[in-house]
Amino acid sequence: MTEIIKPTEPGSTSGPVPARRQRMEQIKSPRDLWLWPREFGLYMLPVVMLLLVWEAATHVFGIQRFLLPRPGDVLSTLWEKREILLDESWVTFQESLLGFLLAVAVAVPVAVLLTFSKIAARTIYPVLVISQVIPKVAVAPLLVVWMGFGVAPKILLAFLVAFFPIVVNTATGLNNLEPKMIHLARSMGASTWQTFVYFRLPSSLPIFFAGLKVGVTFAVIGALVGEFVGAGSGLGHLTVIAMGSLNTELVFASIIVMAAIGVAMYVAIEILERLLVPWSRSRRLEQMGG
Amino acid sequence: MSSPSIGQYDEKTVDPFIRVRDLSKSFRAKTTITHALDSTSFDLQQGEFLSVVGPSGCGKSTLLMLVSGLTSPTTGTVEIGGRQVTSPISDVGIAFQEDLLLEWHSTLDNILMQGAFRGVSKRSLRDRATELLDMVGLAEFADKYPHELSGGMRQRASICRALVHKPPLLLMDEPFGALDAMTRDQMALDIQDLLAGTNTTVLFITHSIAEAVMLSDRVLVFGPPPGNIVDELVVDLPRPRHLSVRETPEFAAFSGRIRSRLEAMGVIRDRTAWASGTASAERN
Repeated sequence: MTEIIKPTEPGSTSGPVPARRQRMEQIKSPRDLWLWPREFGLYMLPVVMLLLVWEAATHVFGIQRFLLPRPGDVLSTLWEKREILLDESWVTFQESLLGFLLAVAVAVPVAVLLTFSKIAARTIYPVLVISQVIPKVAVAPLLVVWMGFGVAPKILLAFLVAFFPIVVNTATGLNNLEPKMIHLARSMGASTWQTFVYFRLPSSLPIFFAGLKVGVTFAVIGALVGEFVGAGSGLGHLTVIAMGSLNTELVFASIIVMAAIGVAMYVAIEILERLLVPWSRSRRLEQMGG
Repeated sequence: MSSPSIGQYDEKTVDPFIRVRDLSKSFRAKTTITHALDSTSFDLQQGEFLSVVGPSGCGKSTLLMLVSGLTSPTTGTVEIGGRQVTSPISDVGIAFQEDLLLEWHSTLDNILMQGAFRGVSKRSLRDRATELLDMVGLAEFADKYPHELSGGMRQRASICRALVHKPPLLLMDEPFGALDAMTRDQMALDIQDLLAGTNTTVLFITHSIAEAVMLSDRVLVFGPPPGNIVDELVVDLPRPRHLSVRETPEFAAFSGRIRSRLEAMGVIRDRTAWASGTASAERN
């Protein structure tokens, strides 16, 4: 969804690049960090439509509740079971977050290593790719056997799934610096280390954040896979139990909460990006012709 | 006007600021060797504005990289102030075709960046930076970010950055290359203003014959690759030069000589020789 550029009062856009400046002011305003009510309405429109069609379909075709519950029932289940849903989501959220943070903590130094050492790049990259193509769902039961039913295998799975996109994007970002920029830095008397900190690192941030966004949603999925395979708590565990008793309303309710966790973590990263890398967003808008 | 040979020039100069001798550079790919620059020698006096004009791939940019020490020569030497260049020099300001402004710093901070690794405090550079920005009409954009500036403004800021620490040497590699014609004219005037009254030595790489004549004390013409000096002319037009200088017969004589030299080298092909000069434009 592109930003809609608000027309400003005539005469208020002085200067040679009014369109760009206007956009910048819009991006800088604090309320833009949150969704505008109008935009929020646009985001929610398809969701509301889907719910209405769904509700109508269950009535018209007389679909049985254990196959497909009605949205109304799902929503009331969400409310009735809110305490257990919150408790279980807290577990899932913690596992995802820890796995994600661990992935960032490991991925960034590895990416730096990949950037600076050709030998490291040659030896590490194959391992990375292999670790990525091994299906985590297949590994999950093994991890549970080795590490038990606690949170450890879930954090590990979240880590494993989130790690790859973050390390690849960070390495790509760190290699993103124009060679001439390095020349410029050297002519300014910057050492290799200073070039890294003052030029390479900041210029990698837009791509780094793109990796974080993919990684954070993957982390939630990783944690949930771990919970499905074997757990004593968490949304995945709750879903398995609800499914066992054909409590389809509760299954749907927990799926909604799972999605909500993923969305919340994604939005958190996006807000962080807008605060730390404001130039990335404006450039993206330019490319979109917005 | 007979073109002075390089040897002649040498005898006239005593203690040049920059002395380039037999400089050549080859790039080795897997199976091929590209000769970018072929045994080039020239001198550059303190405070002189020297332009290098030539076709693409003639090693102009390579020359700049070699003078700045950012690449090392295959053979030959560069001496600046009597000392041989063996590693990147930092007593220099460089402006490339790309403005290379850091998107995460304001215009002013981009310029102050020049002092960050030299142990120069931001405060001591600030006045000079503000003065430069004022001279190129960017005073009110000091706190704006690069993506809020137009291409010409960005490039002006980049040149201010190259000059803020008052370097004895300014290297420019087609700094106006990506700009439209009118902005280029303005930039040429701005450069002249910025350098007026300073003793900055300038090496200016360009494709534009008119810009070279307009700005320079002396022009080196490079032939097709592997690049080498094929002509050298001293531009003694009075300063300050206005844009109208381009319409004078003297100016036309200088640019005409460079043009005919490049034509003779086959760099510019004119298939309708009977209307030499204007035909190539009219043909299209």
